[in-house]
Amino acid sequence: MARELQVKYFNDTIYICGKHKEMVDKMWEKNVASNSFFKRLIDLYAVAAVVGLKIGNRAEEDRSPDRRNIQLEQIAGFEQQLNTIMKMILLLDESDGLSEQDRIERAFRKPETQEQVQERMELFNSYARAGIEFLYTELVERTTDINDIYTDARVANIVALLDNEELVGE
Amino acid sequence: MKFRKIKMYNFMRYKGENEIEFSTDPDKNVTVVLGNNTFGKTTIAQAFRWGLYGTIIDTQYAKSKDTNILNNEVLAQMGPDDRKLVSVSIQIENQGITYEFKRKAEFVRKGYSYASKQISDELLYRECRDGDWDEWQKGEFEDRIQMMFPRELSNYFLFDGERWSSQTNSTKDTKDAISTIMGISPLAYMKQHLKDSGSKSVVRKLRGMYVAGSDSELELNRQIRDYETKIEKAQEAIKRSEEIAEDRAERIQESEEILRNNKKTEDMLKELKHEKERVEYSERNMEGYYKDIVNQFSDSYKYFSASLLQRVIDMLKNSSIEGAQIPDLTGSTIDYLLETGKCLCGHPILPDSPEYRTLVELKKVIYPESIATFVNSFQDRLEIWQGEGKKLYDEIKEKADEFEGAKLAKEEAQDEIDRLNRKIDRTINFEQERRRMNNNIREERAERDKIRGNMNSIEEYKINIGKIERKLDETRENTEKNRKVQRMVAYAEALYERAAQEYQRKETPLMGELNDLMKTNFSHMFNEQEKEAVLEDDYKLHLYYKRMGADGQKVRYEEKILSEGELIARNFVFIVSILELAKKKRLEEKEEESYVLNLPIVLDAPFSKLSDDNIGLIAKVLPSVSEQVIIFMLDKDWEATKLSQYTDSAFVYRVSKEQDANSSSIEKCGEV
Repeated sequence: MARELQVKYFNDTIYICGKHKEMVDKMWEKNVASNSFFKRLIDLYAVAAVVGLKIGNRAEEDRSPDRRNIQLEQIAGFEQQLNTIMKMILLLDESDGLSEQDRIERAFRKPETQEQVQERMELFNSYARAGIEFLYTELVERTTDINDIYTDARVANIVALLDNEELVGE
Repeated sequence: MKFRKIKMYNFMRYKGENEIEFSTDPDKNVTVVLGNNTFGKTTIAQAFRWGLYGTIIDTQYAKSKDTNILNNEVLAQMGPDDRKLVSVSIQIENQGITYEFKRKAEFVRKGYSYASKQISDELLYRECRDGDWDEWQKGEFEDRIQMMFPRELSNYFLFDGERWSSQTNSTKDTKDAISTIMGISPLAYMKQHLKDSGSKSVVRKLRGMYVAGSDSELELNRQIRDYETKIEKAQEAIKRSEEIAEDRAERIQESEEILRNNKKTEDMLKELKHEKERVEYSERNMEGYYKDIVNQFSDSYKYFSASLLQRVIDMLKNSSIEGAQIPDLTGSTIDYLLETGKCLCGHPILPDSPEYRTLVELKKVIYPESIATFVNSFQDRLEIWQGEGKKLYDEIKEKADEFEGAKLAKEEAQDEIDRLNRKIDRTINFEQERRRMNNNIREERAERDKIRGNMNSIEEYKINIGKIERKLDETRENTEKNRKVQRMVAYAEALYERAAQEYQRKETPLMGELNDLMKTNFSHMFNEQEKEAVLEDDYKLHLYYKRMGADGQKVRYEEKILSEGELIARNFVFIVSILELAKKKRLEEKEEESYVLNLPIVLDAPFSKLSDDNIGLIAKVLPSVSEQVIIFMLDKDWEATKLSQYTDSAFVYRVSKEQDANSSSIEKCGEV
């Protein structure tokens, strides 16, 4: 019997596919801190969603079969944080042309149907994918230069990202 | 014997004519030349060697073969194949007479290249008695120089290169040098000539003049010739063994030198280990700091959310999300009314009626469906994130700084490791070298044993020859000619005995005296109570350390591997002690009977490797052991030498060099 999903966000395995999976692999390796920018994949996913929202970009899913997934157990322990980010997205995302009041309603009322959940999860994921692309460019592809205070590329790129005007400017 | 003046013309660093007059005052017998390194102090010292012997030696600055004797500036102004003169003249004062030697050489520029070639060499000579100079004479005056300043002794009075730390000098050279300085080498030559040179000796040749009569006489003569042949063979074998032993000794020294460097290598290996530990430690730190950074950065969604917070707050402020506050009315009260379809007043509430819709809307703004609660808690959470995000930024920066510090430490250590590895790679395998050295030590010992064996045999042969000669003397026909020969033989024998006694009298205590002087000088000059320098039978200076043994007694052990400072100390003590002994002997003997050489000392001071205390101690000895001291040093060392009490300020010079110029010049300082 098919599992009946509760009508709520972050209630299922999250998949990161294709090019985004490739990018993620360059930023996180399980249990190898020195090859990672993030402790867990879910951390990368959360940061990416906020980054995507901040830069106002969304990215299409690459539907290649190669994928990496974030297990439900990991998500469950991180649900509160993800939901807070989801609320921010539902509040600030203007792609549906909804009024502010409607976006507030959307953010703070529970979803009523699975369709709503799927649709909003896709919204969340599209921001996360754009965030992954941005993080990849800034953490992996960026090369250090004379203006960097730090000589280790990983450290320099993390600090540069924290100082990135596009991300931290009002 | 004292140097009175040196004149250089276009010699090396000195363009045109430059001269220095030296102090010949017996009390203030020091002449000092001050100047920075590379300014040309060593050149002046080199001018003495070139002037006297026509050669220069390697210095710390350049190999002699790469050195232009002709001044470089002069060379630069010459056209291809042009010729120029270089000369050095040296005036020497001895017992009221002034001698002057002038070496002149012509150099030609090799085409357009920046090099010259010497094409002629000429030595001129003149004397000055009672203020009148003779005419310059051309000719072979090398012998006169050799008489005054034997070339083989130049290492004992002319320090014109960096030989202070040299390990070499063969046993024979040292022995001969000591004999020459002490004036006993003529006696040794005399002994050799009269009797010790076998069939070529005077005594042997005289004995050959006897007229042999009977067969038995002929037989005895034949036996003598056999012994003589054996002696000659044994002497040849000794000579060969000495050569081999000297060669092995040199190789042993080379090995010691290498092992001395390897002692440094051992130190370097220790250092290398330490640096590797530093790298590992820094790497562990870096790993730790990076992990901290990653942990913090993993929460950076909070940090990045902070900049979105204001937008969220503004948006919520503008919206109507305030909840309605109706006393005791909750969502479930409205649910009850909607379910029953009747108001508390009895008015029906039909689905989709205005009453029904009003109640549904009302339900949305009262507890628990009012979103105001969620909004408030959401806003609170974002504010917490904002606070945490700020902290996160500071902490990441702090860890990044620590990471960078650890990385720099690691890189420093890594650079040091690379440097050490390069140095270590250049040294050679210890064990192999030690084996080689031990083999050479064994071979040297074997040869020395052979030498002793052969010397014993020679003594035996000589005794046998003596016996046979006595027998011959008894049986020889008493003719007029034989009696004449006999008198000559007896005269030569007596002369030999006298020379041998005198040689014995002078040579035997020499070593003991020299060693006593060296011990005293070593402890005076270097404040060393725990070390002593001893000249041993091999005529080499050995350095011993005293150390507490297991039984609490002091034991002496030889330090074979010496640092540069120790080598300088050891060699310095050696030379100064020989000079001091020579002076002592001169004073003991009547002037006219003394053959002890009386030499000035010219030195490019080895002070850079010594402490101020040692400089003072060393310098103090010089004016008293040598008739005249001509010393070159850095300005900064002058005070430490405390030589000013032995120096007339008229004989203090300074060499200077114009910036960017190739040539130096000498001027009188006037004061120090």
